[in-house]
Amino acid sequence: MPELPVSQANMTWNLTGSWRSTTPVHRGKLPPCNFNCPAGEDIRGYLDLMKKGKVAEAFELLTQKNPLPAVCGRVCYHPCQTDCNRHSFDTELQIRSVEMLIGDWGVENKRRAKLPDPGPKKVAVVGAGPAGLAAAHYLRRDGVNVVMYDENHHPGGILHYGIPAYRFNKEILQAELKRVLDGVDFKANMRLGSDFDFDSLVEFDAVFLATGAHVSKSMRIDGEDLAGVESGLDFLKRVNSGQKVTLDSKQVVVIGGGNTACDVARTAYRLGASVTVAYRRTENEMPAFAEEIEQLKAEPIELELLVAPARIQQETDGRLKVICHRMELGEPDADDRRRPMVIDGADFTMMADVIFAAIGEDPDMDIAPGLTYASDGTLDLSQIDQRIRDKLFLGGDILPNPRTVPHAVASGRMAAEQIAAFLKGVPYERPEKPAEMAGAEDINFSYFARINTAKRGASSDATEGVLDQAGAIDEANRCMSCGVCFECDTCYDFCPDLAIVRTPGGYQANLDYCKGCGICARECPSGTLGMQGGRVA
Amino acid sequence: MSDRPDYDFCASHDFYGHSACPGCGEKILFRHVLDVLGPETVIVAPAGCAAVTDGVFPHSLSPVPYLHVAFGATASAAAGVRAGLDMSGRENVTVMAWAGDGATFDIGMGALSAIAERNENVLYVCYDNEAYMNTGMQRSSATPPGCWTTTTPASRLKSEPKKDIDAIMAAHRIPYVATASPAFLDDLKAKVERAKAIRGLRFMHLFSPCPPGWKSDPADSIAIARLAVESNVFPLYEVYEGERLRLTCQSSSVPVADYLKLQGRFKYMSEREAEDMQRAVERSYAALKLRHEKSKVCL
Repeated sequence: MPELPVSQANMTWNLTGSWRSTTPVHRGKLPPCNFNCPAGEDIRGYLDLMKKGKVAEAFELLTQKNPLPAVCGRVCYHPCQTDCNRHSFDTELQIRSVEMLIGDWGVENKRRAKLPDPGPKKVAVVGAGPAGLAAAHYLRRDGVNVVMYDENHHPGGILHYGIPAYRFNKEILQAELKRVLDGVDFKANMRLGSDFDFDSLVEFDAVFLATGAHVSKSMRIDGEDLAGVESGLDFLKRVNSGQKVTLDSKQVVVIGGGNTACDVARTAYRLGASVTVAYRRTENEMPAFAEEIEQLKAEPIELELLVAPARIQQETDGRLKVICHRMELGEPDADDRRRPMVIDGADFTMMADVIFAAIGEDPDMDIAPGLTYASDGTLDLSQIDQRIRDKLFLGGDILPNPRTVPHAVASGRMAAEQIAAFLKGVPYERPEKPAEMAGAEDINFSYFARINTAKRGASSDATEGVLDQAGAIDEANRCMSCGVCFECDTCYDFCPDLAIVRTPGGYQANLDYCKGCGICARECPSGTLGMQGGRVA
Repeated sequence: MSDRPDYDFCASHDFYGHSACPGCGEKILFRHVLDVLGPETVIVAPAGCAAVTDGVFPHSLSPVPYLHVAFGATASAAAGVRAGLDMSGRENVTVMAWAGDGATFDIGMGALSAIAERNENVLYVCYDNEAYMNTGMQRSSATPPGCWTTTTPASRLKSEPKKDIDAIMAAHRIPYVATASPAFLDDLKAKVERAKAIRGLRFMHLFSPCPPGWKSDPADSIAIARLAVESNVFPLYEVYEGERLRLTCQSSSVPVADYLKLQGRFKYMSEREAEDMQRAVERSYAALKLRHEKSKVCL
């Protein structure tokens, strides 16, 4: 016998989990950046890799969802930054700049995707815009033979021929496209319906149509066919194809208020014109992205709001006279924007040498015989040759998606997944997004330090948003990993009962001992953990 | 971020199943202090929450010897264990007294002062939850003014200031005195490392949130501990040889009211008492800061 009574056993028999009335759970909320990214990028994931300086891994993760990071870092409207929870704390992360750096790193290092030998299946992709590119790329990575057709000389579609060069360097685009189209049989200058027949697509195992929307909408006014009245998109295409276009000391009127109108106006201004943009509603209703409107307004371009052209006449000296209505806003219409109404007796005249119409674009319906609109405005495929219809997939701007580059990329990538499933004869399930986004109320800001925003330059335009690698790592280090565990050990360290167990890639509650105090959830910096009522066995 | 080794002393020694209340600050402190000290440790503990929640005889949570002693005898018993270990040539073993504020500020004060005067080679740690929580939340001399306890009810809140135990211990000129908080674990662990390496009496004063006694949400334990430091109610510092004082956490001047409002024990405080507390906190923090600046010059 010892001289003192001595305990010989531990307390592990005492399963204090039975005391619990609330239980820690993973809430599974999405970071706002991931939640808002139309292309479905795991932004938080690649920021986490960037924190560790792993650029190659970040590039791999990013290009699993978007093959065009160098392009998107420049031209995307970066909704990833809109709801960044850093916004209310100091300032949102410059995600687009990090994405651009990762993309440029891929270009500079001539990264190539690992391509399996193509199998027997063969897919035609028509249209080399962002949707077609993404589809072709991911199909090829999946081991499918891809033949890609485009009516233009260069691949890229709207990226090459629509977006003006001052917004991004076309050399970066073509360098990135070289990687994207690696292993893809690209056939240039092949216009569906004139250079090859729709019928000829019957030899493929599947067909992906992503010919976009580039037929300018008609203004439906007298005089729109006059010489000097042109489609804005065609004008951009001429400029971007390298044609010598000059508008020296010309008076240009751009009709419309979307992104195309902004690009047309700013391009015309750069070619020497004095430019007026006429839009029939107010700035609030302009469909262009806020950033584009800001950039437009920053240039000596006149913005005439609440103006709609009524008719165009040609003067004897060849100049154009636009008779315009003054408008006012009436009741909201179907898409919830207030309807413009003509103010009687307030018509006025604008003079112009050239008029660009940029009031929107429609898909080219001539590509497939039998392609029509149904009465509800969706595409009707029922009249298309059945041999092709059964293996026909559509994507990009031809569908009623929001017309942005990241939406088109997502549409192309998902089409690739769908086609791959179709070729294997397995059902395709569209992945569902979790409903909830991690908001500022989920973040424990005690664990993050504010940065001195005064020391950073405001970065509103693309050229200013450029970061070097060290800068991108600094920026990534500001990421709070909203809603997603980043293995900081906080829950583990603060559990009085040691009931948080480290597991590979995260933590789990040991419910045998967890008393449900809730410290782990209260302290969790990223808002990953929450408490759920009840004992939850 | 998780690049520390997978091995934690407590985690790898079945540190499960204790009966402390949900959200207990003492158990967070205990596991991290023990992780630093490691297996070559003997604990001496008087009556108190820690002793009761360690286990039911013949079972014990503690992965190292844990000697239960009488309430007032902690310091003397620790000195005795030290002497015994030294006699048997085990001078490398750390003797840690692990006592609450009742056993330290009140009942064990005499014995503690005695071993401090003799500079016994003991690490004396006080986990301070600011009242006799285990026996039913009676006031101790560690209870802050304006605080509710079962012996200072709403009609007669405690009016006396909290005993400045750290100044008392530093006045004994012992080699090391430090305050630490569970909300700042890196600071806590660094201080335990330093204390472990020093010979002689080392005194550590740990802030220990107590949800039942403080009438606070168990989930708020760490948030309260963090606010106590940020509002300078419980500033983090260390004193060497009773002389050099070093603040180890920058003040962030959060209002004391932010700290008070998370705890039901302060809800009977009048606005004036709260203002008085704010002023008292500012005064004592200013005094610490002055000593901190002076100590820098003396180095």
